[in-house]
Parts: sequence; C-alpha cells; structure tokens
Amino acid sequence: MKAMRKKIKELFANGDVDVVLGYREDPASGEVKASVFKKDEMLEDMVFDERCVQNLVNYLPTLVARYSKVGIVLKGCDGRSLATQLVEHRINKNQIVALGVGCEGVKVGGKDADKCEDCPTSMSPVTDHEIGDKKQKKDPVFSKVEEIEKMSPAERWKFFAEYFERCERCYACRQICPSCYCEICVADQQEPKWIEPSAKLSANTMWHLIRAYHLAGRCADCGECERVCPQEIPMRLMNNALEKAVHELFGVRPGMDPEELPPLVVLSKEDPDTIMGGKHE
Amino acid sequence: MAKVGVFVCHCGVNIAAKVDVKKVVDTLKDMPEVGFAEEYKFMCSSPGQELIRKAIKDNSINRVVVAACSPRMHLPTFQKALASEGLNPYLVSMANIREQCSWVTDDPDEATQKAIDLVARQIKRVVHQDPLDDIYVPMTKTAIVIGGGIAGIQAALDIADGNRKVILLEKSPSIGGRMAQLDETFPTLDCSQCILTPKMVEAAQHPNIEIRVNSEVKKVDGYVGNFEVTIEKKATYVDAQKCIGCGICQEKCPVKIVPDEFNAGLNTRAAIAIPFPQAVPAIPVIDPEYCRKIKEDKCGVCAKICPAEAIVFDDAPKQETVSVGAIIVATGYKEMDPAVYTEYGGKKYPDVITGMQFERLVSSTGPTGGELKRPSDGVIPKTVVFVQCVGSRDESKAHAYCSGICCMYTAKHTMLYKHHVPDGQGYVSYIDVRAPGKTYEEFVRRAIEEEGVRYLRGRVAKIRRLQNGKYRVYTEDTLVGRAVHVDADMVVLASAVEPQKDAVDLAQMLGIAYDADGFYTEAHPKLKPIETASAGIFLAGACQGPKDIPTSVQQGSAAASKVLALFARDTMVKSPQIATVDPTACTGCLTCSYVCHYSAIEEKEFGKHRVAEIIPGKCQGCGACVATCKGKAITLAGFSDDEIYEEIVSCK
Repeated sequence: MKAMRKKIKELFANGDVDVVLGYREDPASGEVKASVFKKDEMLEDMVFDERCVQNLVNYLPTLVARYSKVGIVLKGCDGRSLATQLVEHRINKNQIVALGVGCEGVKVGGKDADKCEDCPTSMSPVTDHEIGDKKQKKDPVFSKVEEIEKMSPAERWKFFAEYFERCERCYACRQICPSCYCEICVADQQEPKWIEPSAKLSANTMWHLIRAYHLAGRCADCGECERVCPQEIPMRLMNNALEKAVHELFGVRPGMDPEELPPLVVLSKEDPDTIMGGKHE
Repeated sequence: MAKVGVFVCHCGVNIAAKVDVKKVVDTLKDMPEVGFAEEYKFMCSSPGQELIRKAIKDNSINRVVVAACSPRMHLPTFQKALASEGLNPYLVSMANIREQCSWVTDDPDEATQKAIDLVARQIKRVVHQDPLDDIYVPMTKTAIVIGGGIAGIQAALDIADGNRKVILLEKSPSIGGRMAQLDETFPTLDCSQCILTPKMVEAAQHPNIEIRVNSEVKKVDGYVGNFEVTIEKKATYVDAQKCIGCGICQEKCPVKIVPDEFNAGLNTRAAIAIPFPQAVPAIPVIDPEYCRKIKEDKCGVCAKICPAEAIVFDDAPKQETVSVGAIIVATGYKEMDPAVYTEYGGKKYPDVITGMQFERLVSSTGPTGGELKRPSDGVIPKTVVFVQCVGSRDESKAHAYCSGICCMYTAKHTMLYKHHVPDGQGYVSYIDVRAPGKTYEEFVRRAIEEEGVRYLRGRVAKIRRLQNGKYRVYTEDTLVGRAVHVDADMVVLASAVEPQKDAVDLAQMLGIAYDADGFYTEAHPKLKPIETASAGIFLAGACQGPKDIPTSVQQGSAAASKVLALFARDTMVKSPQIATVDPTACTGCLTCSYVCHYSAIEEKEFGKHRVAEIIPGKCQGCGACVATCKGKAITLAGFSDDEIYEEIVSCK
C-alpha cells in the first residue's frame, strides 16, 4: 500500500498522470468504492485489499475522453480486462499509466469471490509499474462449467430457464461490462426488433444468449456482470462455458496478451479444424 | 406499394411429383403482398420466363418470387427476365423447393406444407428488398501463370497469341517442368525435348510473355480483374542481364557434389549450374548451400573466370508486386518418394529406382549419356521388373487415387528398355492396365505383343537383394493363381503422382480449395473443370489431379481461353451485394478487418473517432464482417437485417 501511494505521488509530481483511478475507503461509511484521485492529497484514503472488487476499466473510456493521461490501479483480472480493451482499440495505451498491483484475491459478500478460483495471474498483463508479487497459476479448471456439462440438455435448459425467467432486463450486466460498448445495443434496436424488450422467458433467453456469445473469446472474466445482477443470475457460468471452449480449442485465455487478437477473429493455419476432419498434412 | 408475383415451378416431376404445386399457388395467392400467382412446368424455360414478363406488364407486379431450384442454378436467369421488363434485377428472390424440399422430404403433404412455408418466407422477404445497381470496376488485362511446365507454357502462349500480356512464373531456374526431364513420350515415342524445346523458346521470345524464373508467389490480394500478386525472386547470384550462358563457370566450379535435381538425384553437379542443356533461360544459378565463396568466403573461381562479370555474390531475394486481372495456377506435381515402401527397400537398394530416374537413365542428356546402365555398378541390366501402383491405389500406405499416367509410361519404359537392351527381358507387375486415351490401349498391346514384355498381374510383396547383386522380386500372378518371383538386375517403381510440397500454402494464399490429397479443386467437377471457386483464378495441368501431357496441354489452352474471354471486357461487373459500414454505429474495434479475407476493410477518421470503412471494389459480399460486427454497424446489401428478420419471423 505504501509503495503504491509512493509511486502515485511520484507520478503526480512528474506530471505523468492527470488523474488516477483507484479504490477509496469512504471514511464515513467504511465502504470501498472506485474513485478518481485528482491530486496526491487524498491518497491517504486510497486502499488496496480484498474489498477492491470493482473492475475500474469500465470507467476508463469516460476518463480518457476528459484527461490526456490516466493512471489506473489494476488487479490481475482487471488488467486482463484492460488488455481486451486495448486489442479492440477502445482505449489508446498512450493515455494510460497502468499500475499493476499483486492481488491476493477479493471477497464478495464476505466470501472469496468465485472468479478468483480460476484466476490465471495475480498481476495485470498490462503494466507500466508493478507493485507486489506476480503469481501465475495453473490451467483453469472451470469446475462449475463441468457440473453443467454433466447435465442432460433438458436438465441444463431447466437450470438456465429458471434463472432467465427471473431476469428483469435492467441491463446492469451490460452497463457494468467493459466489453459491452456497442453504440446501439442489439437489445435496444427497434427496426427490426431482434429482442423483445419485455421481460419474459423467450426474450430474456435471447438477451442472455446474445450477450454471452458476443463476449465469446473476449470476456476476461472480471465477474462484474454476475456481481451486479439483482436477480443473481449465474452470468459467469455462461461466460466461462465459452471461455472454456476457447481455451480448449485455442489454448488462449482472453486478455493475457495485449498484443494478441481474440482467437475467434483470426484465421490461422494452425487452428484445429475439428469440423472438417482436421488439418491437412 | 409492393405487389409480389409468385411463380411456382414443377421442374418436370422433380418438384411436382412430391409437392402439390397447385395447392401452393392457391394457398399463397391470398397473401396481402401477392398480386399474381401461377405455376408452370419449367419456369427456367423461355415460356416460363415469358410468364414473369407478362405478369410484370399485365398485372403490374413489382417484386418476384420464383419457387424452383437453388438460386445458384437459375437466379441470374430470372434476374434477366426482370431486367428485360425494366424492373431492377435485385427485386427477385428464389425459394428452393427442390433441393431443400421435394428431394429431401418423403411425405407429400409435409413437402407441400414445407413448400408453402418456404415460398411465404420469400414473399415476406422480397417486399423488403431494395433495388441495387451493378458496380463496374476496371479490368487489368494482364495475366499471371504460376508454373512454367507444359500446361503453364501452353496457357501463356495462348494468352500471348490472343494479344494479352502474360507473366510466366517459375520457381526453378528454367521453364519446362517435368516434361523437360522425360526421354520419349507415349503413345508416339517422340522425343520429349524435341517437341517441348520449340515451345519453351517460343515462350521466351514472345513479345507478350515475360518469363520470371527463380520466382515464387508470396502474397495475393484483390479480386478478379484486379489482383495484386507479390512475387519473390530468389537470390541466384548471377546477373541475368550480363550472363551470356557460356557455361564455363559450371565447368570450372570445384564443388561438384550438389545432387542434380534434373537427373532425379542420380548424379551430382557443380554448385553453379545451368539446370539442363536446353534450359530457358540458359542462365546458371549458384546454390548457396554448397558454394564455398558464399559459405566460407573462399574460392570465387566462377567470378574470376566469368567473361561477362555476371557473378554477384551479394545477391539477395527481391520482392515485387504486380497487377494482374487473372491467375492461372499450373504448378504441376511431384513424384512420390517411395521411401515409405520399406518392403521394396525403401530407397536402400541403389538399383531400385523410380520412374523418373529411369527416364533420366535412358535419356541422352542424362547422367549416363543415354546408355542404360544400372546405378550401383554400371552393368547393363538384362532383367528389369517394372512395379506399378507404388503409392497409388494403396490407401493403407499412401494414396487411394490412381496416378493415371503410370500404366502408360511403364509401357513406354518397357519399350525404351527393349530398344536400349534388345536381349533384355522386361516384366511388369500390375493391378489393372488403365489405358483409356486415344491409341493408348494399342500402345500397351504393342509392348506386350511386339516387344515381348511379360505382364504379371499382382502386387509385388517384397524385394530382396541377393548375394549375387540381383534383386529378387516376390510377386504373384493372379491370372494363374500362384506366387512367383523374378530375379532382376534392376527394378523400376512407378511412384505415385503427388501435389507439390507447398501446394496447400499456395492454395491458402490464393483462396482456392484443395482436396484431402492436396490437389486443387475445380469449381464444378463436370461443368467448371477449369475454374476455381474464386473468380478469375483458373487451373491447368497436374496441380488439379494426375494428368498426362495431352490433357495438361488441353487444360492450359482451356484456361487461356477463359482468361481471354475475361479480358474481352473493359470493365468487370461486380455484384452490388457488398457490405457498407454505418460510421455512426461503428465503435472502431476493427474486428471486421481481421476477418475480411479480401483486405477490403480499412480504418478512417470519422469526426474524432476511428471507424472501419469498406472498399467497394474489393468487397466480395461474403458477409464475414457483418456477422462479426456485434454493434450491427455493417449491412450487406441484399441481406439487410430487415430482409433476414422478415424471413425469420415468418417461420411458424
């Protein structure tokens, strides 16, 4: 923490950053929230611990439009998220000073966050400055996805339908997701109306499937969609099922390399071709 | 107000035997969009098209749905019918009630209902179709022929004679290809070189042909009429402009240990060499893997002795991009390496050779000067066994396909052998003799009946080298039903025809299809045997599949005629069904540009943002970008969201 504050002070002093996006503990309520630090004076309220759940990358597009240099405190998962944004030209790396902080895992509702189970790296893959330990982890296990895969299609449908039924189409999942940034979301299109706006099973299913598929090969599993869902729909389960498929087919986890294009948008001769009976020798 | 004419085709009995076409018409004619509905025996026939024209005139319909076969077949036919009545040709849509309905549905009632649904869907769709105007792009009237074998040479000559410029690209130092290596050709036994060399010289001297040897394709961009082909010329270390082809360099070069590819590796040559005496161009090339000057900075004899000062040791590969309107792929084949046949010695036995090696052994320009001596000890072989189908028709070891040419060249080999060694005895081990060409069967009979070659029907099981230097060939004679063996002085394996090693790489660069063996795939096996699925790219010769010389020449000429037909036009009509980007909806992620196969998407500034832009001339309308754009910022004309949506929601 000390090292982090020192580094940020230094950045402000050198004029390397206009603002820094980090976590602040509200002295009154004790809550930890995403905050924009404009100068180094407020830094005593800055924290970095297991309460820092929010993915700060979501705030970056607004900030880079306003400031020319933005510092950002990054957990490993948020760093992956940033990498996906850089690949998609959402954010210009020149405007960012990435402060990777070794993450020890975060807690949601007092318990270890589910997303930490398959976390591949404690340190952001994109950093200008690294503070703390860098721990890389083994291949993901996707244990919850495997449970789902064991179900019969009918059981699986029943499982998800119960959740989809509850969805109230508040689109909190969309608003919180850094990768959901279409100018006009398909869910909002009127002509033609691909997804009915009313909250009912068929339309909700359509929304959840399109949302998940649009994130295939892109979702860096920050888990924010699931965290903010008022109906506790297991959003990560869908994201992870696709992440697992991409990992098995291409050996890639999104966001681990800011230079690498998402595997689903590149044509490579090395790609497995299981549909057409394999690569020609 | 859209008023749709619906025309349901019987296709003889193809559709009408299963689908109640009358019922289809009766059911649909009451749809609010429909202004006219009719059925007819053959909609694609002249009277069928006349029905459409008449309905446009008399019933003032302004949209047309034809329920018939696949649009792949007859959409252009019906588009023309609309155009002839002044209606935009993109206001027609086809419902495929043959391949997707009558042919695949058993129950007539179900088939009829399905047909009704399929046609109704197109009626809903066609209302949302917009008139589109064809796009015209200029045509580059220069062709490139990739591969300078006989098929490529013929194609280049024909295009050049048609008064169009052509680049003849060859990766080796000389044009001529496999045919240049052959001694005599079946079924006439005329000398291969004698008939080929004049064509090679003609190609070299033709004002419309630019031969580029030692060159390979590295990249292909663009589309029919406007390809951009990047060519890399390898470093040859000899200045072709200065070299006079005297050949003194290859005489004096002290490094004479380079395997001679032209002689199928039977002998060695110098590190600087003209590939063969009749090479075109007759310019030597230095092999940098062997040259002592390049490897160790020693020697340099060739540079000292060259009267033209043509040796350039610091040569480097050069890339150049050429613009062409059409591409002919004529990359030929290679002979399979028989090493996998360990039971035949797997290349361990010096006197078990391949067909091409035999060809070089009997050639007057070959390593023995045309005297048939076996490689191991130079003894004239008195007994020779020719083994057919080595690697062909043998799925377990190599290839399922028949190499097509081996039966004929083996018959030729037996005759050449008899002419070189009149008291020798030739044996042929064969499965079937396949000689379907003109005078081919007679040629094989001549080998058997006049030259006394013994044909043994059966596959060779094993070849074993004996103490006395002979090779015992274990085979069978299935016609008499017993195992036999022959003690031979030499064995010739008719090794399979295979695609070139880099055939698949080139196919991927060109965007053309290839089969499981690596041969290039034609657009239609019967009706489009020269075309590939990519417009403006044609095939010639054995790169498409095993072929003999006459067929390769035919296909070379055929490909040339396709190119000349293309070049008869000044502009290319391009389908207006291309994609466009709505810059206000584009987020600039450029994912579309990564999935575009045609390099048709670039980035541009739009206000403060960066957005994707599609180059209309390059877009082929494949729709990959449309599918990948999550924000739906891209629309493919003729496949708009409205059209697709109406089609989907009309499904019951």
